[in-house]
Amino acid sequence: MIESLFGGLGTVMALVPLITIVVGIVLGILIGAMPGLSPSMGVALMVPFTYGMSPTLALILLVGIYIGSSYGGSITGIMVNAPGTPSAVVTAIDGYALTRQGKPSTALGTSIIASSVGGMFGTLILILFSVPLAAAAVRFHPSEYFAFALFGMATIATLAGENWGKAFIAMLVGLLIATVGTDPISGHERFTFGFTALSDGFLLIPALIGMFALSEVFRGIEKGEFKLEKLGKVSDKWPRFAHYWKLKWVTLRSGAIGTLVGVFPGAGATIGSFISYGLAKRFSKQPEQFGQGSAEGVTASEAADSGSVGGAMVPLLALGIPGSAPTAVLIGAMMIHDLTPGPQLFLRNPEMIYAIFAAMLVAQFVLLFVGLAGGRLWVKVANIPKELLYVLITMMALIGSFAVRNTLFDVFCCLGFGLLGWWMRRHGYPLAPVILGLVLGSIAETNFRRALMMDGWTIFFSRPVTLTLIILAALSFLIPMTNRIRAIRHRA
Amino acid sequence: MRARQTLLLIALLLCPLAFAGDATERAEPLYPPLPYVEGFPSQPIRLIVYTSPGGLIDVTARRFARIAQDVADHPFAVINRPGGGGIVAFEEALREPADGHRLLAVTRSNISRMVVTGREDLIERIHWHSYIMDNPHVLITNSDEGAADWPSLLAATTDQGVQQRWLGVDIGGVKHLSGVSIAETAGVDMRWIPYGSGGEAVAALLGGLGSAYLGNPRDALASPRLRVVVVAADERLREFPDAPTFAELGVDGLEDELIWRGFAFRKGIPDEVQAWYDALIRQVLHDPRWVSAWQHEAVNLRYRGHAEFTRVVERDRDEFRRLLAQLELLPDDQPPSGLQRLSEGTWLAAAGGLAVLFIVGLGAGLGRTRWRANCGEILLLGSLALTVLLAGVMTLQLPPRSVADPIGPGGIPAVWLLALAPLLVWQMVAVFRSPPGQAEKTDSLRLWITVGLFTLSLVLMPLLGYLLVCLLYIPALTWFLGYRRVGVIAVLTTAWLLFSEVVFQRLMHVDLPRGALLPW
Repeated sequence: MIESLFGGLGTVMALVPLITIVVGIVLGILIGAMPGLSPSMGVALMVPFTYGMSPTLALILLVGIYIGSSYGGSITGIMVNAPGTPSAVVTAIDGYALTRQGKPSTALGTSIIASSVGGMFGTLILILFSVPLAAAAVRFHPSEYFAFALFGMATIATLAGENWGKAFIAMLVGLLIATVGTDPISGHERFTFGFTALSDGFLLIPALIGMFALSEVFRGIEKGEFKLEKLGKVSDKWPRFAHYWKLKWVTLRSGAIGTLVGVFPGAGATIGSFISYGLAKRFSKQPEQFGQGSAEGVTASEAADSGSVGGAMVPLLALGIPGSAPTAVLIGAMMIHDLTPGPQLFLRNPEMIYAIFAAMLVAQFVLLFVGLAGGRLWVKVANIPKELLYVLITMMALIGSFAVRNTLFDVFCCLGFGLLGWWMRRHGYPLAPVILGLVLGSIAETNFRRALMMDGWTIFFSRPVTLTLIILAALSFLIPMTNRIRAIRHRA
Repeated sequence: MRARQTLLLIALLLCPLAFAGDATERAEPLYPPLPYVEGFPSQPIRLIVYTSPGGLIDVTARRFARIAQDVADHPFAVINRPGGGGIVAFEEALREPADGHRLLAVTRSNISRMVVTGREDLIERIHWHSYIMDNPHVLITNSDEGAADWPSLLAATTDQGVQQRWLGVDIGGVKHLSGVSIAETAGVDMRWIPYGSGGEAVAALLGGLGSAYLGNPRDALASPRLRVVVVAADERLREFPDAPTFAELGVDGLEDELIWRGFAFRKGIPDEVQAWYDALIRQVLHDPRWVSAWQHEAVNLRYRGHAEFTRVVERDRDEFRRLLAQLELLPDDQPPSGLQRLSEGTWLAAAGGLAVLFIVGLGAGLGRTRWRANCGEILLLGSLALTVLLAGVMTLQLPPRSVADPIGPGGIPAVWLLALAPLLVWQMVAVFRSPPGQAEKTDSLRLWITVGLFTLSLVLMPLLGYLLVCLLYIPALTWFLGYRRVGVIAVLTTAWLLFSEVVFQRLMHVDLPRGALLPW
């Protein structure tokens, strides 16, 4: 394997592949940073440009875009509270809090290092354990997916802070919104009011842009927050090595969680980010900092997000099954280049597989350099007069929502979510739980019902992994709650 | 120095385009010319795919577009419009002018979806232009975990009386209906387990979670453990020579369980443009690149023209109507009764209107009480409570649970509603019990004018078009928010319009709204 990997590195360490990786990462970051363009849209967008390339070069470019866009979503989340991807919602919680404190460099620096290290960790896991991990992942019963989703939902107890009642209401609103559309099991339409555009439910991108970006603009305008904060006046410097070194365990743990969650087809980076964030808070010596601008919080979600890229590539390369939406596009791209994804690729084109592995490793270093260099540019966003920034964000919300399906209906949905987000934000209701509910609601429901259809109620108690995850979810939920109740009583 | 760095960055970004060759370069005229049509094509041709990127129909469309742009010497762009199993894509094609610049990539799944959702009108409004390929449905098993051939799969039901789990995708979809047909004809007691995608279902089969998977033959390539045990076609597949057909196994009537793919567009396209597409599609289908791309994919490349394609669509529609009726999946024609009537459109609109009036009235009333500062939160909780009430009534309209689906479509929403309702009450009580606070000092008027401007721009967009609306909206809002540097506003507006045009319109082929009154 080592020899093959060196062979792959030999292929990648040439001028053209290196330039391709740099271009992929830069384009990916730009795509991810733009609210409205998801990583899968970005990869699909570039597929036609790969027609003239060799299959290896094409995949290197597309994987570079995937890696770059997974990170890019955090930039707008940190700078303007408009996460470009659902998993960046968690990064925005503490990242944007740091920016508001005049420390965007700390947030951006932490996020790029965590992304890069988490991504590297995920890639190493992919290289070393892709076959056994894929074999284990396919054995996951729907009951286990349901328990996983439940475990993700249990992070609400850590996200909630003091206002747990409000956080629960927010999550239940998200769960309820997730039920709109065609029922995935029976095929019947629910709460669509006859709108065809709602047959697949509310799309995540307009919901995300509205909930976070538009509501932030509305709140800023309402509060008259137009004062320009010159960064020169705040004491913000790029973090030194010691800062990152302190975060090493959070980074590695979150990278591992992200990778493992990413391995399971359909689970997605968002669950990994939420779970990592919850665990980071639980194990932190300063849990009270979470939500107020914790570097650990930024690290946890970013490392998990990037780690999930390596994880999602496991079923793709080992079985030819997509682990995430962008890997589904990668499968399509492989087929367009007359490749058959899956185990046959390992047998017929091993040199290509190892070139992709090598490119993913190199891409993490490129991401690090491009991210650090670009970070100095992103920081300047904070210098843009708020009046202009607000107008630009509303335009981005408009075109980003419209671009998903070429319909103004989605822009109106975005506006609706913006107003709901503004209303909730105004009265202290956190927004991240809404997205948590929106993302996990469908996974939890479909897998719960699928598990029942397959094996009845007993399945939730008879499979050890399911039972363990359910117990862990219950404990993750109950322990912070009881601690909080105790603290309230103690104060009284 | 900065200029040099910028140039270097631009050069780097342009590099992939240099390698991209085919995407931009003009091919030598290797193909016979297509029939000349005055003024057509005058813009890139959009190939609309009804799924997200990555599925087989998406790959089909992209392979086609790649060759077609060489044949026609004209750009083709694949755009994905997922939603409603094709309804969103079809509606988009029908919204646009009948000038032939939008081609729909269609499959047999679209027909089942239109029938099951009661949108058969869309089938009528579409011109089914060309049927280009099909592949039979096959049953795939995991040889390590269960049956390795059809007789042993069948024996599990007939001899041991075990209900089989067939894994597949959506209920009411073409594969589900094929599965029902196959099980019925072959005498298999089967329960369909729907997964979100074929990939997830294949993964579950590999994990030993089902007896078989029904899908496309190429899905069997995911692992050597997967075995195609039977083919629903009239002859064996070249790629899977060991897999028998149903006819060979003595089960007749399952020679035509397949998925077809083709192209269609909205009715009303000029005849000469249709002839242009006829010539184009025939040339692409005979292109060696097209033929070689599909040669190991277990696909039958066969062309059928409009008349024959339309007959296939009609036949499928009748077949799906019969099967969906049998499965009680067709839209209910029965009038609702009792409380169900409340979830009907008119009643619901009336209830919604009353709810809004109630909230407004409540807001006005609370504004004069000691809870003035908490008025916003009370209204938020009140609105959510009313939504819970309305949604609760709407769940009554949903079909009840069944043996096959022990929760039913209304079960989970009901759980969330039941959890949310007491929390809302609890929170409301907490608000009323908390001491009245100071109202936050905010500029509500400025906020609502901003929201109004944004909403107005959306309302006006279909009339005035994206360009004009942006030209009005960006300067107006910037000025309203108090920014007065006219030069900067002009540069910002121009830059935004250029960005929209280049990135979204040209690169992503997002058709930004053109105005009905001012069409630019």
